[in-house]
Amino acid sequence: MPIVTIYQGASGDGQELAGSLAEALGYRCVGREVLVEASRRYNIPEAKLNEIVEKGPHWWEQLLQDLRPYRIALQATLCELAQDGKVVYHGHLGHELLSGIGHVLKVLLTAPIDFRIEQVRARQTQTTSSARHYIEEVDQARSRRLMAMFGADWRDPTRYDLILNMAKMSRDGAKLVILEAAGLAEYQPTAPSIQAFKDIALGSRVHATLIASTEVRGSALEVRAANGHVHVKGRVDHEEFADEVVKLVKNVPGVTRVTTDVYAMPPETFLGA
Amino acid sequence: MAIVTIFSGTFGDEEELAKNVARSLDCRYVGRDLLADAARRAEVPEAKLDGLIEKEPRWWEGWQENLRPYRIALQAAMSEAALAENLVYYGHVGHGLLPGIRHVARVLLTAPMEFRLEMVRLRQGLEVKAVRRYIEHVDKARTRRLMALFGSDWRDPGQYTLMLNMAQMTPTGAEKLIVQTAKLLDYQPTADSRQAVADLALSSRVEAHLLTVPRLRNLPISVKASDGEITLSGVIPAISKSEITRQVEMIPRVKKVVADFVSLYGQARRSG
Repeated sequence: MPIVTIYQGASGDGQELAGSLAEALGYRCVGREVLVEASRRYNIPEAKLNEIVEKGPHWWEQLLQDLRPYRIALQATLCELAQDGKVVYHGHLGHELLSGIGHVLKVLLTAPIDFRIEQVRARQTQTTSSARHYIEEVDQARSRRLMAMFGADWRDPTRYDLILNMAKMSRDGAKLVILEAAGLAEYQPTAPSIQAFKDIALGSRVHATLIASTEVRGSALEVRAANGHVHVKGRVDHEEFADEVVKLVKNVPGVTRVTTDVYAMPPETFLGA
Repeated sequence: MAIVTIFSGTFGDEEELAKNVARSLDCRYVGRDLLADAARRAEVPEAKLDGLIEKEPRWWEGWQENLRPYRIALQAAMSEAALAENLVYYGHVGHGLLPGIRHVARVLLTAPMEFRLEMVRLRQGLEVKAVRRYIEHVDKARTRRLMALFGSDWRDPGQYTLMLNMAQMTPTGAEKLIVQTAKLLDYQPTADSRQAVADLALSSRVEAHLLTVPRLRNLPISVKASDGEITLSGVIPAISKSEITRQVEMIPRVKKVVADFVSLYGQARRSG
């Protein structure tokens, strides 16, 4: 059976649906655990990670802040948590963190704005206008944040396999349709899709390890993994850090071979100082 | 059993998928025959209706061409078909033709641009650039046409029950999900939702009938039906009121007519 990712905007009972779906499939349901675990494994303060994931970026952040390390840490963590393939992820990152994997069923729960306002209003006892304001604010913040992290708009329907309109479907109905989709042949794990997952998992784990190292953190590196073979290319600050890269990568479980195409250039050189 | 409408956007031809859904649900399949029926009701050639739905409206059509008669004719044809039996409709107008009916499962099939490019390229043997131009043109034309017809954007996910991405999903997989959705409790007809179809069918029939009377064709008459009772409203020339009521009373299944018009005396005097 596939890994399932479920995203619902700033309203609704997607978490309950994810939980009951996980129970029906005999899976674990994960959401915030990815954030907490990424923070623990890669020494990123949880509050910082939460801010990165939840809040809209300020205009200056696009110039000053590189979101890639956070994306890589989150991807490595989600891959670890979903290693056995028995996970229903609930949140707004899963469909992008695991994109390109054939046995991941990506689900979006949607609803017209009036329906969502009513849900938020009922749940949080807000007025209609403050519920609308809240939804618009969260939607906009997530749009900007996900665009900055993944270069994709979460509202693009083609980013998902299945979109269900919760204004026109009960939670039980949605669960039955998702279960039917999870049973389809096209979303079952195959040898190539399992390998693609392993490659992404290993690549992000290696990359996250490099980013967590104080020597290599400032480098601009790209990592590719294929069947245990890891290739690292890009820039490091000093010549000796190139050896450190190889040493760090070799120590990551699952790596069978390391090749590099790394050059050294101190930051002051390319910054023109 | 639910009524199902399937629209493949500009993604591809999935008529066979829709026919298979109809077979699985043991329902009538409705496709282009809806257009023929609507054209007969609107008293226009089928090709004209086809062109109105398929092609991009020209800039002057916003003033010159009133699409209301065609929407009414299509809605009358669709609601009559829905009244008669369970059905699966495949085409690009069905999702807008049964507004407010709870047991209609509206399905949109979609796919990423790269996938669509490849599909059209293989089907039409065109170069990638030409295919992209073609897709963009069809997308734009359909968006503008459906906006003119229904006043809404067909790409709005809020209109559909289910959207399926056909890049990875096979037609067989999509068929299973659509059938599963149609069988959900949420989409089973109730006494109220059946009555809503009957009311819509009758109000559409009245609107369509008024279109066939040349003197009444262009009057802004609003029609509501409730269990055989028709309520007519609008701002119209005073002289037309009795004729409208008489025409509506002749329509089968109409039990009572309530006219709630505002009369335009100035125009009435002129037309008198």
